[in-house]
Amino acid sequence: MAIHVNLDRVLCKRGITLTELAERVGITLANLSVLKTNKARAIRFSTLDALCRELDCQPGDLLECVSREFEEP
Amino acid sequence: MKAVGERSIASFIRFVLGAAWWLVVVSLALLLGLLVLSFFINLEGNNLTMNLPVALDLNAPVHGSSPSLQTDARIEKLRGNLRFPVRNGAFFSASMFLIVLLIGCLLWVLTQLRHIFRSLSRGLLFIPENARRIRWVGFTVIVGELARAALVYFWSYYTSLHFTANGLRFVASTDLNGVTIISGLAILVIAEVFREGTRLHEEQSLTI
Repeated sequence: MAIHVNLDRVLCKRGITLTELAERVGITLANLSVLKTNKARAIRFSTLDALCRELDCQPGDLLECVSREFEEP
Repeated sequence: MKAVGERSIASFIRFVLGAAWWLVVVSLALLLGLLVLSFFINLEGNNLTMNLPVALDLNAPVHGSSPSLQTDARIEKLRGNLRFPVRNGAFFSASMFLIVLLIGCLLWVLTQLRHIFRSLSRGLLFIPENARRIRWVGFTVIVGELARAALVYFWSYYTSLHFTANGLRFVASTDLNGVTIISGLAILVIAEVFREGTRLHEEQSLTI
């Protein structure tokens, strides 16, 4: 997939663990882990909104479109 | 009646499937025993009879209800069963073997349906394995009906070669059931719908 989720980078900058973020956002740790490891197929606007609110960032900070040349097979 | 859970439609169907499965298992075991026995004992001269489906042409004039009413009607492909003592042990064994194969296919279909219902009770209905199982059930229904029709033709051909009767002519014929073939095709269509449903379910479960 060409869209990458840079959740781990933002978490590191904010100094928050995945478990804390899961509790604040109201998503299970398993689902957040799926998102973090780029295994998710889609993300709801409501989820993106909650993440941006808790991490005080923009959607562009979390989502990155990677050139298909550098896409992992 | 509820859709799932205790005393639901699904549990009733599961009960019926289970009962049918055990009935077929017992029947298959008996037929297998008879097949194995046929290789070791001399069937000819025993009181063993075979009952085969046959097709007949009747060479009898058919009149209208009024004696003066002329009609060119004739009876064709009259279907019935012919019961006769077993004389050809090889024919009996071959027939038994083919019946065992057909019943085996039926058992396999019932087993796949039971697996699907087991996954339903676990809440894991839309999985790739179930889509595959439904597709194979569809293929088996079609191939099974073709095989059954071929077997009926084989039997009617055998009787047409070995039996005659006054006013009757045994004909080699089959009774391919088109409704069964169409049902198999319908199951294949459902399998493709199910496969798409599995894909949508996977996508939905990976939507955060």
